[in-house]
Amino acid sequence: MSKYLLMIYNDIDEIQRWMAMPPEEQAEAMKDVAEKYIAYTKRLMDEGRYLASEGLGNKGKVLLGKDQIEITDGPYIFAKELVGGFFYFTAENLEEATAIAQDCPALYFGARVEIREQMQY
Amino acid sequence: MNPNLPNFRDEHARITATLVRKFGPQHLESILDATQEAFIAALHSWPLQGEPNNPSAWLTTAAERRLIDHLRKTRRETQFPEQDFADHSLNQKPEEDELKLYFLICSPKLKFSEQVCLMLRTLGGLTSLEIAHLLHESEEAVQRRISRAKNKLNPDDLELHDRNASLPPILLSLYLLFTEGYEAFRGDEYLRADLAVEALRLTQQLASLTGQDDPNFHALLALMHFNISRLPARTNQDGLPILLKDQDKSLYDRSHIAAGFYHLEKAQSATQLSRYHLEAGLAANIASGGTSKDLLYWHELIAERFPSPFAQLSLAIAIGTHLGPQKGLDALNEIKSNPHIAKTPHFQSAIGHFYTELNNRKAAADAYKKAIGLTMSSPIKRSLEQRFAELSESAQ
Repeated sequence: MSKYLLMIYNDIDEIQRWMAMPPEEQAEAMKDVAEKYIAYTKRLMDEGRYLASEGLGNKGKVLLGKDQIEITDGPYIFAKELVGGFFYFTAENLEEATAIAQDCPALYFGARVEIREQMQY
Repeated sequence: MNPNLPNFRDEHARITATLVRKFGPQHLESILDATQEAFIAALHSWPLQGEPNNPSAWLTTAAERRLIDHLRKTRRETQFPEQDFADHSLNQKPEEDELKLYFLICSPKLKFSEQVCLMLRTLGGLTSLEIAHLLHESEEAVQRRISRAKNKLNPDDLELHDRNASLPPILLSLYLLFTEGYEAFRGDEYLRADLAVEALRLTQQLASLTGQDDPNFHALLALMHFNISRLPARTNQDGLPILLKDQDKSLYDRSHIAAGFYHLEKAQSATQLSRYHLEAGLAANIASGGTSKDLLYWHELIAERFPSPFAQLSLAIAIGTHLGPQKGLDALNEIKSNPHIAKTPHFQSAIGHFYTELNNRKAAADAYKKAIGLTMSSPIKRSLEQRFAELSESAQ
């Protein structure tokens, strides 16, 4: 049994599209997001593999520079994608973890999903 | 391996309380589910839509909508309160709801074990699984208890008949929750620091809700802070208990001691000293390095004013520590007829301790052997077994 981190990379254009929706449309779309993520989270919990999950806000800083550190606002200035959140769960092996990741609702909403095995010491 | 739910713990009590008022405590389980679901929804939709201007209102509305969905599915005929998806923070007093929830949960109708689960789940915002880990029980057992407790409650219980009369049972429940964390009675850990800290957090939350300067409140907070200050020094690396006289006092947490004195000061305005006052006084003395004579004074006072088996046992130990092992054994002998005392491992291990000091290895070993046979947390058991083994070795 290993631990896996599933990272959700939301597409910046997609985020901007969501944020620009009129309130009623957004509320409707959000209901869909909520349903799918609740079902997915509960499934991980029911299977006893859920460890944690968090969402990340859009506020942030980017630090860069070896000698002189430059600090700029927000990762989105540089990136095409933004890490929106993660799931942390257990699975037998990478194959099983990948199968679980395939059901992640983030894919449905146009995000890229990355699954990484935690190092074992 | 504790599962982490979204970081909305502080919102949990408020949202639950609002929904309990609007829908009634008989729907508590659905309310808890709906609140959890709202947190999950927030977690994954906020990165897409951006954090709402009023996150708190967003969560309450989301939880309420989900709750109504739940109830519609289960009971078609249910009448719902008038829909109000406007900003909840504007026209209501969430503090009042939260306070009522405390009173509801600490209702004498419920067993203490049920109160503990409801307090941690509803007010503390812990998941059933987290509570199961804390209490060393199965998740099903925790859920069963919440469900049983819920069935005992009805909407009338939310009415505050007499706030002043309702406060003492709440303080007592919080105090018991704290002591359970402070020295676990069974299980793998000698202390459950996180349970004690959780009890402190709930007490602080309640104190800020009532907004009143009740001296008993301050006394309870003081005793929690003083005792928590010593947690880092009370166990060794293997989780085994360290006796007071052997504790490294430099490990005591200064900030908790300072907070303890702050509340002790505020507690002075009491016209009548509560049990919390005296125990806070004792804990203050221990945390600030009082002598065995000081401690004996406090134990005498507590045993006299608030007699209990545990107070009598503590007093006998304090007598032995200050006046010598034989006096301690005499004092223990005087209370051994009380079955509540004699069947505790603490009683037998105190006898073992004093006989060891008197160099009576045989009697000491006998007592430790008896103590080992009694229910207790496994670290206490291991440390007693260690003492027993040392006695057996030196006897050969």
